[in-house]
Amino acid sequence: MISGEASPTTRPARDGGASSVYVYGIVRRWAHGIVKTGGVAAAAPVRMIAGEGACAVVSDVPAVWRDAGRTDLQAHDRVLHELMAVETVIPMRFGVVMASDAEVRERLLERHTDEFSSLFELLRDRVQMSVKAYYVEEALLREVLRRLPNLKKRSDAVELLPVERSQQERIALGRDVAAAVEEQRELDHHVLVQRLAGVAEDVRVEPPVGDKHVLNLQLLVDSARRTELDAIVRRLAEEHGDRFAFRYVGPLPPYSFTDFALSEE
Amino acid sequence: MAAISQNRYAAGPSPSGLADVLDLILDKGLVIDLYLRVSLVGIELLTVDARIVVASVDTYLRFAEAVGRLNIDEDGKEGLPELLEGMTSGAAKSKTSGALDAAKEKLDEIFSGDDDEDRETEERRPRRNRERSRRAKPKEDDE
Repeated sequence: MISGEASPTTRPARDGGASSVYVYGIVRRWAHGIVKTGGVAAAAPVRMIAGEGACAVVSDVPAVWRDAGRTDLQAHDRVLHELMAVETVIPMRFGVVMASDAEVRERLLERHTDEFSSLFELLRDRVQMSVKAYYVEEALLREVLRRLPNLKKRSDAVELLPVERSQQERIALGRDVAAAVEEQRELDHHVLVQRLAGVAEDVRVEPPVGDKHVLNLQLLVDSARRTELDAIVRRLAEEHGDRFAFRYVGPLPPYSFTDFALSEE
Repeated sequence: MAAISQNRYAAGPSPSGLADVLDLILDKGLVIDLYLRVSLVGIELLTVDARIVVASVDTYLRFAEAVGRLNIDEDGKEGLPELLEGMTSGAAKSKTSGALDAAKEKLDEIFSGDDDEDRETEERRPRRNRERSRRAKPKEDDE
């Protein structure tokens, strides 16, 4: 499982075909044994391809690889976590596959040395942390109706009508409630972002996913300031625990802060 | 509720499970223009789901129904004044592009269901996913 030396079986003819090179990410240095577990495509050995000032961390995958799935996603993330524990890592998005070691060397490592070195600068001693918040049960709707009691009155009125004769009223009411909910969500979102973003070097605000989601914030934080962020999240959870459930995770490979496409030029 | 949150965060962040990072793994991180990404079952699903419009009449009716159900009288708590300030601007970023998000949510659902590590994600979250896919996306759900 541990690799690094050129093993004679690293270019297996899986499925009777040739193999390609799956790229996890880029590190400045790579030490033997840095990644202890297997990679994608049935725990293929993880190895590295060295370039000038940057190394690509890779493993072999079948040239035609169509059945990637859950365990591969986990493997991708796990390898990056292991790297992150010892080195600054530039994570690739899941599923970047190149034709051969030579291609990785020429088209990735040699061509993008400058980008990599500025990314290493940006990411050094920093970690990505993620804070998500969800409305607790009906907290969002309650907040909205407290603010706009008229909606509740309309609802009471519409409830008295037979369903088949009040369809239009119900739709109109629902549309107004939906709009008010969206407004409330934006307010809450704004407040939470303001409280959290100050401690970060950089943030990415992702759109909420789902009805009860209010915040999806990715933060790039100096390792030294992690405890400050911990404290802010803790205070938010104390103050707003009756309205929001928080999900605070990390450290993560800095996916959100390396989110761009290298051009071929 | 507040007490639970307090305890939960006293020790800092949790390690991430797949559900926490799925959107990051699939959507973020460095890519190279030229190279094809692996054809992943989930990615195909995502493109299918992305066509489904979330803000449907059905959704509105659901909101209307939810308001009807909710009894606010027993709850005299004050709202948070700070939330009502700043109403005017600044929060526009949180606008969702609904369909794509729904698709991600679908993925989320696929991958989060049986992940041990993810089990400690809020109890509410899986339920939210399920409800949403049932109501807003009648098409290809296998329920």
